[in-house]
Amino acid sequence: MSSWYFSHLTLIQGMLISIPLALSVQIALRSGVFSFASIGFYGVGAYGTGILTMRGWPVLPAMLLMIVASGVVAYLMSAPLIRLRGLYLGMVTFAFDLILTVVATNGGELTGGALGLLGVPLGMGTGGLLAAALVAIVLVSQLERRSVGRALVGIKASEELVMSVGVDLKSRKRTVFAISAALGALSGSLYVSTFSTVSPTSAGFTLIITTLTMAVIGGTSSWIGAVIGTVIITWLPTMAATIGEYQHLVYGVVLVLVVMYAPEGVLGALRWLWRRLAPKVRMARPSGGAALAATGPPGGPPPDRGAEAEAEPVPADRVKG
Amino acid sequence: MTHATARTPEKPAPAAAVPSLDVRDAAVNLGGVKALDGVSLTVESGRLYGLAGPNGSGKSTLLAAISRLLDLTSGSILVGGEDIMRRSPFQVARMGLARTFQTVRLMPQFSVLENAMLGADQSVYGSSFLRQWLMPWWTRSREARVRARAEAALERLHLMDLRDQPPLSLSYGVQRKVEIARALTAEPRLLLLDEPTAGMNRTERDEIGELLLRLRNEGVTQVLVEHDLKMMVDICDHLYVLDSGHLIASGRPTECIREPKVVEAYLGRGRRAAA
Ligand SMILES: Nc1ncnc2c1ncn2[C@@H]1O[C@H](COP(=O)(O)OP(=O)(O)OP(=O)(O)O)[C@@H](O)[C@H]1O
Ligand SMILES: [Mg+2]
Repeated sequence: MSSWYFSHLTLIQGMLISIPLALSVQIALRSGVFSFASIGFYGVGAYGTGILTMRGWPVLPAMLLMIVASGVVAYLMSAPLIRLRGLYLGMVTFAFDLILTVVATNGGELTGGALGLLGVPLGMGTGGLLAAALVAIVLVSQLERRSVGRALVGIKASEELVMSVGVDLKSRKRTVFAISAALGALSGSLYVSTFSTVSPTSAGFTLIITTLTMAVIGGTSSWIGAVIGTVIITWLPTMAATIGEYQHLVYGVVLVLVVMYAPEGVLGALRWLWRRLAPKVRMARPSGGAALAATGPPGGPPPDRGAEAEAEPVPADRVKG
Repeated sequence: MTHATARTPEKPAPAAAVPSLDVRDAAVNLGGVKALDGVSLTVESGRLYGLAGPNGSGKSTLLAAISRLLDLTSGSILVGGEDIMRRSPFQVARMGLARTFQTVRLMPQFSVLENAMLGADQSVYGSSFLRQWLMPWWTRSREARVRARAEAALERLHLMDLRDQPPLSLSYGVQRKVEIARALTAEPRLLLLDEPTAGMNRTERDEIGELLLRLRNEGVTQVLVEHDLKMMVDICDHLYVLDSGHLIASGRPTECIREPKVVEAYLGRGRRAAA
């Protein structure tokens, strides 16, 4: 076990680092904010934390500063951005990411040019990464529950609907944008203080594709999807050694297939299976009904959507995004 | 509620009261089409108004303008005496306006109950991510209040049995009822209903008609868009009729629908009133 752990340490750490980043894209997509800006803020977090710790800052304050600063800057930036519709926002934030890589490349001494930062002090163990990933998961999953959750899901169903029930849509989107950026910065900060290096390419085009694949393949309807996607995309290359070279090509193809044929991702497929199977399982084991009655007895608390893939008591037609 | 559903036909509006809704010379151009053109009308509080007109006459456009989902090209709209032209849709909603949509807008991922709950979320919760993160006990108590309101609304529409169902598994008529329940959960002062009974059978329609009358007697001001003129005549205090973006008639429903202009608008161009 422990030899397995040590030989896969890089992957395990990489996976934990990717979780906040995948969540940053998932929470944005789920709220109808088609933005890749968090990838740019991943770079900001990585470079910022790297530069500060190389100048003697302790890791945690450096990370916190970069996370908060990214959130604030993103909030300010978001005012004009969230007026952009769908794809346009995607393109602008995509450009934002690429501009940042150009800035990093031409940052001279400060950013280390094309090589990037080398020898950033190590400040993160696997335990720290796990804690950070868990905090990110808890914060994001809370936003899928209750009033806040309904409003955010509603945005995807119909913006007019959400506005007509009194939700300040602009402010919601701006806050989501800021949270997404902060999660990106968190992920970048974790990366640089774990692997002690960052270069302009590490927050570039391929990271956008990889992260988008993680979020979409798992399913953007819940944080669980982002986690599933992260796990799959982290371990897939080791399982199929041959795809190594064509990794991003494969991701691209998988992305297209998922979007076309399973828009709810792996999570959606699991839910669908669960809805088919749950009634049968319940019939086979009537006593197990209590545990499976995730929708709750009449008068009982409603299920926590997003806390788990829940059963529908009646097989519903597949719900389309 | 004895005789709650009996209409008091000539109930006068309170003297000198500010009208709930005051539309002044409203015009909307949609891609070259004058969807609304110089429409002025008032809605006194506590009464049930019908807004009729053939397909494409601008009824939905007017409701969209009142709920601020659509900008007027010119003119103004006052809600409770307050000019709302510079307000956002969410601000108008918080002033006590709720609406249903002609095309049902439900969240497929959520149950019927949760869809209804969306209507009360803002007034009960306000909107804070921080509270959601830091004060779980607070959100829990709010959640219970929202749920109670949503259940009361579902009860009125006889939907309690379906509360845990995903809405897309339900018939179109039932989905419409969920839509109405969501609006009721907001406990609105002014309620805009865009064809709430489309796709419902006669019994269901009568049920909704009764409900709207009861709401009226509880003091909820309503603007009802319907193709079912019989229903309008049965329950509305006052009828406005639109045609091609113009207001062509206004008055007591029974008289209104006999006006030549109205008859022509409905029949002259071969458009049947029945949906
Ligand atoms: N998005 C749009 N772009 C251009 N024209 C539009 C748009 N929406 C509506 N219209 C036009 O505006 C006019 C009024 O439409 P509206 O939907 O308000 O009619 P309506 O009275 O609600 O009709 P219906 O009974 O069919 O619901 C119609 O001529 C319609 O074609
Ligand atoms: Mg209409």
